[in-house]
Amino acid sequence: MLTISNLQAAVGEKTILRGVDLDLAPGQVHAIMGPNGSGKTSLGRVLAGHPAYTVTGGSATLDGKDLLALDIEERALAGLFVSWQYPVEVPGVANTEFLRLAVNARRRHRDEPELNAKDFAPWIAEVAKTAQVPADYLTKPLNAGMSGGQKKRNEILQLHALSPSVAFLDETDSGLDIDAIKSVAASINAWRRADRAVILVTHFQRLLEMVKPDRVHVLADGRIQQSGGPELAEQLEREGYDWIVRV
Amino acid sequence: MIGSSVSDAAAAAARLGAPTTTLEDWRYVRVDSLQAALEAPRRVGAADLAPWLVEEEPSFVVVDGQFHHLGRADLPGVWGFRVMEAADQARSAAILATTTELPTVWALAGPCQQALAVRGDAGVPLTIVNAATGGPSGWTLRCELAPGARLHLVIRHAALGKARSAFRLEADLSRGAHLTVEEIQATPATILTSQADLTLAQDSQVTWTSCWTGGDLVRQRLDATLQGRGASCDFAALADTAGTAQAHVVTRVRHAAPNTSSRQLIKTVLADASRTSLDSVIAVDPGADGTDADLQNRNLILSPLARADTRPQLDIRADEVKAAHGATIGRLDADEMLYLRMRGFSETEATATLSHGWRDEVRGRLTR
Ligand SMILES: Nc1ncnc2c1ncn2[C@@H]1O[C@H](COP(=O)(O)OP(=O)(O)OP(=O)(O)O)[C@@H](O)[C@H]1O
Ligand SMILES: [Mg+2]
Repeated sequence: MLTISNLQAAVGEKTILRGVDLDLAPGQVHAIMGPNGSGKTSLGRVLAGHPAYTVTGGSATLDGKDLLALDIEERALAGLFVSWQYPVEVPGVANTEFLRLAVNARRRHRDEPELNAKDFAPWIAEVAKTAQVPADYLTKPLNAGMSGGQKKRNEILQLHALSPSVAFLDETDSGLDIDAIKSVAASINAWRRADRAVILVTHFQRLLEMVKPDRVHVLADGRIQQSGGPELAEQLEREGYDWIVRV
Repeated sequence: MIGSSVSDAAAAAARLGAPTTTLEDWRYVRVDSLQAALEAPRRVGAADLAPWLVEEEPSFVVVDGQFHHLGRADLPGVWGFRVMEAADQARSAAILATTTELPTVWALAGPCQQALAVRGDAGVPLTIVNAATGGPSGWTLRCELAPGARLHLVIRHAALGKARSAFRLEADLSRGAHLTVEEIQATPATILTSQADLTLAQDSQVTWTSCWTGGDLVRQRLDATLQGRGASCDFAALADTAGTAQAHVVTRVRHAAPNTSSRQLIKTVLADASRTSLDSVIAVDPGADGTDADLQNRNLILSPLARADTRPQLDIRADEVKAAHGATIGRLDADEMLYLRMRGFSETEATATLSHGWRDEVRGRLTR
């Protein structure tokens, strides 16, 4: 459903992605691993339309639609969800109100009736339960005053509320305590469906033991250098990236 | 051309006893084009005013500078209204002078100088609707708060047509009195001057919140003299402008006694080609030691064509004074915008959502 071919992108003069290929089928989970600064976050941002990046070549389609031709919000409404490695704090905006507006933007896009604040409250409370996110997240400002781990879990809540078709989850497991990783993994598994797909960016094998990937890719120096099954993640855990990057 | 419309406006305002452009230096304001567009005043009925009146709350209405009706003046034990003809005015002044335990609001309106005396229980806010349908008009509201008295006013400025409305509030607070004012304008198409002259005796307090979210031209001036030891004034204003609208705020806070304090927060949100300005002076008299004064002006600019000017000034002639002022002019945070758009918000929705949060700091102070 998400097809990325030979995607190249730069920030100013600096080339960051040097030709990324990836084909994600409905129902699948792909893991992307790789050294710091190899371009994992950049890949998500380029897909999402981050204005700092210029696409210099290649293509990306979602369900046949040319993602790169769409505005930022159109990509989101088309079904792409890209989480942030470090979600931004928005102190003046209430989490619930933000979620309601985001959900309504999507409902409008699908010609569904919008939810008013009264109907939204019980609806989102149910979603929070499914997402395994504590109910008090809903009463906070958007990411403000939340710990790093809480912000990550708040992104998972958004994933459940917005029901996109492709989720690009950027190091959602970083900064989470052991119990939180388990609940986030369970939450991602609960979200999975035959018509949805996930890209998991992670540095750790632990998450991949709980959310079983179909494919594991190693991104290094702006390119996917190696792809394999779950056993590749195990090998990376044991041997690091040296053997790939040197190739 | 410009000169004649300005002097016409000044003459009309002077005739009406309203504050005029010549009272202060409204440096940023061009009223000529706005002035030309005034409509003729028209009669209005209860239905026109309904949006501004809350059932079960005491209120009175002034339309084009004249008393219109007394709203819910009949609520038992709360507020008493008495309309007095011009001949009664000398007497009404006497009534005011002997008032002790209750706050008194005294309104003087219109060219025929009707007067209205209002007395009531401070626990319940009094709503005053200042409606304008067309042409220039103005009126004055005078409040005298007895020692320890509390008064809560909700002033709604309503434009029912292109009009120029001048509103003035004079308040004298006796020892320990507390005046709370909420001033709201949310209808477009008008020129509004709102002027307040506040005199605060020992330990008295003013809490004032103004929200300007409509109007072609709003000019607010707040003059507060903290005359008694321990008096305090807390003023917050929000100007939310769009199109070619302008909002200008002038404040003059004078600390004339020791241990007085003032807080001012003026926030603006500017879209399109709108303009705002703040001109403020905090003056501390000799001997007003222990003064604590703070002024913050925060401007949020949403468009490259918008412009916010700010001129905070301090004039300090006492020792041991804490006086701080700060002004910022900023734009919406690019990362916050991006985050919202990546969740499906259009640029317009993201802007509205983010600037809403910005407004809430002032708007959250309103109870109505
Ligand atoms: N806005 C930017 N301006 C300039 N360079 C950038 C920008 N964003 C990222 N880069 C560069 O792009 C490269 C890839 O960064 P990216 O954040 O995508 O790496 P990553 O694989 O996600 O790393 P990590 O594992 O540390 O999260 C880095 O060299 C980084 O310095
Ligand atoms: Mg990263």
